[in-house]
Amino acid sequence: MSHPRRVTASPVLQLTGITKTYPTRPPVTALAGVDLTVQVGERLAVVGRSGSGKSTLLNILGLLDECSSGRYELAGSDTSTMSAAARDRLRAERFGFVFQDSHVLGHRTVAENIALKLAITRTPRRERPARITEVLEKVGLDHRREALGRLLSGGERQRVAIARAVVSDPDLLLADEPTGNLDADSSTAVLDVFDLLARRGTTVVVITHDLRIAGWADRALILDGGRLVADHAA
Amino acid sequence: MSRRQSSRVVDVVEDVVIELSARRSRTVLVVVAVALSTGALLASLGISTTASQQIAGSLAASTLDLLTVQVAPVDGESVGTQQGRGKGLALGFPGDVEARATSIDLVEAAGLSLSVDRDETTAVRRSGDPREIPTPLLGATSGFMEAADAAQRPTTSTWLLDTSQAVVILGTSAAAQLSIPVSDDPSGHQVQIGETSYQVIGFVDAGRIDLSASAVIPYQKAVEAMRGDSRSQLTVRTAPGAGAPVAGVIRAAVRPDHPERVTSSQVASLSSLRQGVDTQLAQLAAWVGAFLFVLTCLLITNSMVVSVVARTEEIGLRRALGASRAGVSAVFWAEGLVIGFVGGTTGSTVGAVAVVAVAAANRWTAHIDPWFFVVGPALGGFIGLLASAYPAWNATRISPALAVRSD
Repeated sequence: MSHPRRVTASPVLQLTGITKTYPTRPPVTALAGVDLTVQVGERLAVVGRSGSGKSTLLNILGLLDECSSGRYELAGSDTSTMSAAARDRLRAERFGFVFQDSHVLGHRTVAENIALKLAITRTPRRERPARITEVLEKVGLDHRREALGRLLSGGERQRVAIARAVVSDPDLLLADEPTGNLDADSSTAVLDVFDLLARRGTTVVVITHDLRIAGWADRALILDGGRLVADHAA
Repeated sequence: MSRRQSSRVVDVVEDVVIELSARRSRTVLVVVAVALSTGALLASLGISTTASQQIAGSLAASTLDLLTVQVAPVDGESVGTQQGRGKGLALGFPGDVEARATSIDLVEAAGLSLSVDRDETTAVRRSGDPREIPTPLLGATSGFMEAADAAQRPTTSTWLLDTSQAVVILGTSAAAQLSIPVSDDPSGHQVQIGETSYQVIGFVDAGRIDLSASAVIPYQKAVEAMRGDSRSQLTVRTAPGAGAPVAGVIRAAVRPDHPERVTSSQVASLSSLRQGVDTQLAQLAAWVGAFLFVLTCLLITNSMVVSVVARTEEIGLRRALGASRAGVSAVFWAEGLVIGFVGGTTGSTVGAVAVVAVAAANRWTAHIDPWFFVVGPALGGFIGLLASAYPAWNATRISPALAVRSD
């Protein structure tokens, strides 16, 4: 907490009239005309009830899904005109994801789980061990390096997921309920890591039900019925 | 290959090793299944090769029931007692050679024949028809027709071949070419061979010796045309399998005075028979192989499709982390290749052992082509790749957003 916060007045994410409709019967509109601008280094919390469109918004922000209409610019580039391969590359190089269910692979060791991201970003093999060590120290799991994913506790798994998300130094960290399955101590540890990243200029977007996280963020957005109904600055 | 590319290959191999070793039981079972399938495929080919060699060998022994005997001519010699004697013809075969041959135990029939053609065919035409049909012309006795198991109709006129009358038995295809209808009553049909008009006395179809394209005239007429019997041969049919012992004594029976001038050889078209056995067994093996090939493909495909379904979360995670579709499918291609290659390598050993075991159990001589040990791994790898196509494609269709969603 000793480092100063760096929020640059430069939009990294800019959403204009984003709509997402799933072609079910009847069609379901998960997002309806969302306008949003997120600055570099900002800590953003998105809160809302179940079914309010939070996860859909995160999927669109992380290029895991495409919007039905509207414009999404990532660091000034229109993502709708990008090829699938370019979107894959952006996801690999600029984003870090922390999912609610951590998705740590049980048959791989902690180090192998983290190395997965480094292999995808094509980080030279000789650099990987040091990068893994560094990030494991950051999340306090260096002693569990060779443990299999299935042998970890819920908190440890979530920290491995965070380590995997940040090992490639992403510009944007997208986290879906990162503290949903954690006790208070583990939640605090996770937020400390997020703080550390934000201080280094990483934009952090967190989807949460946890009001404590909403209080921690620089901005808290409230989604309801696929619409942004409130935007509170801290 | 650049350092970056080789690093990617190492990453994929590392992924495959981790995934296969994490699911050890499944991996071992699939590799064993591929090994057994490939082994069975190769064993079926190996056993059929071994069996065909053995069967052909057995056939060689059991079908040695047709011999030809020839006498090397000596100028001026004539031992014949046939009608040709006294006409200045050089005869190497005694006139009673057929009787001598048939007096040997296990000989069922014997007869002389002589090909009249020097240029392989003779111009034959139907009387009243100017068209000349090139036809192989053979002089033969009734004994030859019996030894050759000639399928002849009618059979009652065959004895005329033992005379020197101008009669001919036409092969069925030769008759067709001459526009002479094949029937049991050939009376009224005549053909012109050289300057002589021959009366058709019957027809012959393919038998042990194929005469269907030939015209068969009395042996004596052929001897006269050829001025001797230096190119004649005695065809001897024995009881099944008795060819070898008969061949041992026939020379002394034919020319007791000069057995060294008599040569005998096997007549049956054994090579074509062997070829037939080889071809049929190869076809059988090919069909068995094709079924096993499809079975193996389905086996690996099924296993890998199950694997893709079981690994939906992992694949979705890879895609969410930024892995391209090609990167995800590469893992499955590589897995299929590794499983196929290891299975194929093991399978070629299993197949070789099976061939040797089957050969030993049947007291055959095992025939294993060295290529066996190259074909196995190559085939296994190919099957592995082929079988990975669908699962790999399936893996690329997994939506990362859906795969990582928490319900």
